[in-house]
Formats: sequence, structure tokens, C-alpha cells
Amino acid sequence: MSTQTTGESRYAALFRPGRIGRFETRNLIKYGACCVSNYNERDGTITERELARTRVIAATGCGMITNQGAYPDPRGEGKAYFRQVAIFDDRFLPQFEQIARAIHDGGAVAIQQILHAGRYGGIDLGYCVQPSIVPQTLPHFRPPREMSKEDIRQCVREHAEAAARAVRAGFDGTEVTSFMGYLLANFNSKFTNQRSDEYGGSIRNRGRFMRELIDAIKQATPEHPLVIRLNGNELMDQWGGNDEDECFELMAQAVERGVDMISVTVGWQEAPASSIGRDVAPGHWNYLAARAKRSFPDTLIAFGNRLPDPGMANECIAKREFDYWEVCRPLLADPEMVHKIRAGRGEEIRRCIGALNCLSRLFRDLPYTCTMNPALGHEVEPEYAITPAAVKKKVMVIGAGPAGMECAITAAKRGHAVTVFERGERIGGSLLGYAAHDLARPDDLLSVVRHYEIMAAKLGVELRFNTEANAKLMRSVLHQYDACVVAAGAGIDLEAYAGLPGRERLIDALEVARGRATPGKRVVVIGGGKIGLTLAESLRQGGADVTIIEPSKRIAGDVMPSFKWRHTAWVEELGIRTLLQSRVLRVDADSVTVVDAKGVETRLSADSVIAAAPRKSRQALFAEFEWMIDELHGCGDALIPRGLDAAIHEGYRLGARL
Amino acid sequence: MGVAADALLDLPAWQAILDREAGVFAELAPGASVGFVPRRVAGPDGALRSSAMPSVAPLEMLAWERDAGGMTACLRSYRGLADAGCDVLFFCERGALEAVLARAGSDALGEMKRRIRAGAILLMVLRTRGELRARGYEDFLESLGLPFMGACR
Repeated sequence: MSTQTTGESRYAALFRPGRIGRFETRNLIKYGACCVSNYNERDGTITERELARTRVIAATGCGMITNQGAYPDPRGEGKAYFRQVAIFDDRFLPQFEQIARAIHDGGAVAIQQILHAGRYGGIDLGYCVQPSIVPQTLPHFRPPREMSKEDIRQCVREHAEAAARAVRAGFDGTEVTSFMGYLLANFNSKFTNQRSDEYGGSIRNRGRFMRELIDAIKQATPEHPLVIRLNGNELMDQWGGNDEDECFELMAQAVERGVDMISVTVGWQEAPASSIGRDVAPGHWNYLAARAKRSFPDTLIAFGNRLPDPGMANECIAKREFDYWEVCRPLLADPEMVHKIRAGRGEEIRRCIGALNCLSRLFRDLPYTCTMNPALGHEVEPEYAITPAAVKKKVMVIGAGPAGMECAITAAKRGHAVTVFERGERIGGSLLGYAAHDLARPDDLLSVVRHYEIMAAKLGVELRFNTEANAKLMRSVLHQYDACVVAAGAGIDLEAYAGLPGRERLIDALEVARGRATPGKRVVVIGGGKIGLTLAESLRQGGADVTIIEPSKRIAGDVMPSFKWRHTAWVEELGIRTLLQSRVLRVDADSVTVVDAKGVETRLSADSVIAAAPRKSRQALFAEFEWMIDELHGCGDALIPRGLDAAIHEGYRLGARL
Repeated sequence: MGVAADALLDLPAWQAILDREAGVFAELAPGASVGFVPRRVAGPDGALRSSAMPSVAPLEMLAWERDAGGMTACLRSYRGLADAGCDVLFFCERGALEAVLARAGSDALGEMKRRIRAGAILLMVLRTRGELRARGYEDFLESLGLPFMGACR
């Protein structure tokens, strides 16, 4: 009789055992060290917060787990993030030992990544080190210093010592990384390597640092596998970086020196094109891994950039396009993902939606968090754990948007009986409007809605649609509930236009988003934030002539930092006119009059004028329900208009403590 | 003559753009300086070489300089990154600046932004983030679609 689970049989390739060096892996899933957490001490010492997070990672069910990148030098030249882990001294060993032990206890092969950030390093210093002095293209990073040959030799030694230290701590192998534009990539790339000595010039010379690194680590840890992360495409070729063929030639050099696995990656942090964002279709870069596997059939190939779907990964492995699915962000979003697919509960997975909140926060020197996983980074805090409620309550939630549903399913998991009252006819709230007009990946946003639909059904959350929440409703259910959560979201504040001549002609952006109002062919959108932009882009793509009026200096002010550029690029590409530092003076039947900061008036022809700003919380219910229920709470945009991240996080936090 | 050098020299046209777009530069502090040089220049052997090197043979650099009266377009000598004498430097491929100049009367900075995105103009920053912020560059760079606080896409 077969002992395979439903998931093991459906994802047979993914759950096949594997081997790296002398170590067996129980499946072909590698937890990738995709993000530095920024949870640690400023001197590189690992904290309890990190250890708690690592215990969650260790329990993900992956066959191989790569611990996040540690910088190898005591000067901090390799340090990319304020609170990055260090591995340059034995004093750091006790915590690394705990991590290696936790990974082994979880049944995985333990790999420690060594990360020297090169061009993106020196975060605490006034400089970074590079093969050559090539100034930064992003102001965030430090001015460069050129490495001398002695610097290079020392750097190689420090990598080898770090690898030996990781193995002493109990790790089975190590990994060095060029992702995304770190020191190794800086030497490999002709964009940043303009040296005229034996480390620069020809591709063979540019690869010398990498070959020396591999040789030194192999010599220091001969019995332990070495993984190397190399670009299949830098996305820097238009700025003079390597093209794809050169990237693969460098991989060949790594293979020649006997690396045990190549992890194929895409892009640099400063690359002008998307590599892992929501606007890149899942599977877009798979061809790079397939090329690597064809080129180096005897070397293990790991891959996972913008490949969040286990079904697709399983298929790629079955077709021998790569050997290990390297996955990180999907496991940030749902640490139970592997267990869920193994148990045939794939529909319960919380998908990574590629919002890149994680990276957006790192660039603000903050610890990383995840839009979809509010507990991430808070594993050490019992308050974030979902524990059985001491007192089981009847909870009413007003609003089936992300804040309300997150609160509802979290509360239901704790044993509360939850009823959601929603004036619309389905789950999703304003997220449905965004998804209907999103140019990136509507399916990512809709996956959030689907998750809530599935979990509500599984957890027995009662849903009452087409039900307007008001004092009358409350009176009809008086004393039937112990707690009420107002998660009614936010609307467009049309009262802000009270003095505007022709204000009755304004169309509410949310009515357009929900398909209840249809604009004409000449549209003016007031407000260049995420609502206005999303609608403007969609309408423009549908053939309308669109102008955005924005009172501030820039559009996309409320957009996630890693996605701002995408909206501004779409506005350019689609030919949407933007009038900044401008406000509407009057709305007529076929035109809008606008005035700019200099007082210059412009008359724009328009058959539809959409108000997409400002937003106003729907807070009236707080006043109406006071004195009618024991506990009254609020969460999400109903408190302050923000976005998906705040909605989900607040909903969770409230659900976890009701 | 280096690649794209002709367009660099048309100071009246650049001044007209600076005057027209004065609002974009409003936050720049006196002394702020933006440079433009050809991305590649011909060496003694005629072969094209990158001008983004610490030291290169002198070539003309278009500079947008902020003084008390506003922005001024002028020409400076560029001898390499080590002594560029500006805060940020744009390296321009052939045709890029001509395209920007062609939109002088309408949307020159919009065109510049498009050329940056297309890879025909590359920004390099020669000051730290703090220095650039103190000199008022945040708005200017963001208006060109250049993320001041870092990006990962």
C-alpha cells in the first residue's frame, strides 16, 4: 500500500529525495536566503527575535534550508543592512549553532550563506568596496573605494574563514552569493569591474575573484558542499553590464572549479527592469534555469525567481529544467506552504502577492515584514501567536474587506464564533476594485480574496452579504454578540469638494472601480495616488484619453516604495497626462478647469471627472454602536485610510487578542 | 568630437529648458551642480571608451548649476570621475540629449526620464545620500523616476 500523501503524489517531482554532496535531502525544495531580516544587533550578533524566526523557517518542511546571508569581514564592508548577521568571529558561533541545530531538527540540510554586499555594502561606513570605482546609480548606497590586490586576498581569506566557521557551527555547507549585485557580481560584471590587472578586463579575468573564492572555500571545507548564486541575467546590459551569454560563461567557470550547486538568479538591485515584482509573470525567468541545466547537466541547479507556484515548480523539475525549487518569499507569506501542499491542502496556501513590502522596508533600514503574513518577524512575541481564546465570544465583524476578513478568520481560529456583515455581495471590499483594474497581476490580488473565501468556509465563519450595518441592524441583534469589529473601510470624501462649482458631476472613483459607473472617453482623474493611478491606467488601456490632476509634487505618494516606479513608468508608457501641483477650479458638462501652483488656469475637455481623492474613513458606526455592545473595536482603513498591508496586519492583531 | 557632444554645446537651448522647468529645481541649494557628458568618447586610437572612469582625457561637460538667481547652463571641463566637480553626473548615449533638446518647448524632462528608463542616459551619484538630500536633490531625482531611497524590482 502506498504511504504517499495526496500532495506527494500530485507533486511527485518536488517531493522526490535529493542529494547534495554527501547529504541527502528529503525533497527538492530549498529555502532560499532571499532576504536579510534586519532583526539582529548592530554588531551582527543574532537576537532572540531572529532565533524565533529561524525556528519557524526550520519547520517549513524544506529539504534544504539556507540561512540568511552573514557578512564575513570585521570592518563591515560587506554589510548591506543595519542589522545584518555577522560571521567574522567565533563569538557569533553559539547562535549559529542553535540555527544549524534547529534546521537539522526540522529535517533539512543546513546551508549558511556568506554575503559580502560589495557595491551595496558598507552600510555603517562612509564607503563601500568594489573592484573599480564606479559611482552608485542609486543615492541610497555608499560611495565606492577600489579594492587593492591585498584587499582581494584578504576578502577571499575572510570568506574561507567564514565558511569554516559555519561548518564548525554545524552547517552542512555554505553558499556565496552575487544576488542582487553584491561583491561577487561586481567582480563578474563588466559594468562594475573596469580593472586593468588580472582581476579585470577579459571575462576570464573578471571571473578570477569568483574562482579564487570557490577554491579557498573548497579548501577550507573540503567535505562540505558549496552553492553559488549567479545571475542568469543581470538586467544591467543596457548600462554596460554582462549579457546573458557572459553570465553563462561565468557559470561555466564556477562549474569548472567544482561548485556543487548553482542557484540561478535574475537582476541587480539597481537594474532598470523588473525581476521579482508583481508585474513579472510567474515563470517568466524559468528559461534561464533551463539553459543552466542544459549547459551544466552534472551540476545541481536551483531556481525560484518569480516562481511562486509549486505546481509550476514541480513541472519544471519533472522536465529536468532545474533540480531544486528555491523558494523564499512564498514561504515568508505562508511558512506552512510545503506542509499544505504535501497534505493536499494547497487551496489553503496564502500566496506571496509580490508586493515587495519586505524589500521596501529594508531600504528604509527597517526589519522586513510581509504583507500577507502579519506574524512574520514577531515570532518571539506570544501576543502574535494564535492561541485558543480563554473566553469564547460571539463576534460580529462589519465589512468583508481584507481587514475584516483577516480579523474574522484569526478570531475563528481561536475558537470565537464569528459573523461577518457585508453590504456587498462577496468578500473582498475595495481590493476587488483594485484587482479589476490592476495592470500588473490581478490574480495576485484575487488570491487574497480566494484565501479568505476558502478559510471562512473551512472555519465556519458566517457571512451575511447584502447587509448594511447600521443602528437598526445593531438593535435587531442586541445582546446577541459580545464584540463588534468595525472594518468598514474608507470611501472617497466627496464633502471635500463642497465649494467646487459643478461638484455634482463628480464620479466617485470607487463606483467606477466596482463597475457601478462607466466613464466616457475623455476622463479627468482627481488624485494621483494608488486609487487614481490604478483607474487611470486601466481606463487609458481601454482607450480613454486620461489626465490626472494631483495637488502634490509627485504622483504615487501612497504607493509601496518598490512599486512607485512601476506606476510612474505606466503613466509614461500609456501616455497619461499628469498635472502636478494643480487643483480643480470648476467642473462643467464637457470640461474641467484646473489651476497650477503658478496660478495658470487650463481648461481640459472631459466628459467624465472622477474623484479618486481624498479618502475618508467610514467611522460613523463607532458613534452609532457605542453603548450597544460590550466590546467595540476598529481596524484597517475604517480607522485611517492606508492600504492592504495595514488592513491585514491590523485585522490579524485584533483577531489574535479578542 | 565625442558621442552626443554636439547637443551638449547648445547652451541657449539648455537654458531655455532650465527656465521653463524652474519649478523642478526649486529645492536645489545654491552650489548644486548637475553634469552631462557623453557615455563614450573616442580614444587616441579612435576606439570608443567609457567616460565613466576615474581619469579621462579632458572633454566638455554640460553643467546645470544652481546659483542665487536660479539654474544656469554652462560648460565645464570633465577629466574623469575623480574630479568631476558636480554632484550627480548623467552619462549620455548618442542621440539621447538630442531627443531631450527636441522636446525643449514641451516636455524635455519627461523625455529625459524616458531616455533614462530606456538606458540611454545613466545617472551616477558623486555625493552621499545625506549630501544630496541637504542639497535638495530628492525632488529632482524622483521627478526623473530615479528612486532616492533605493529600489528592488
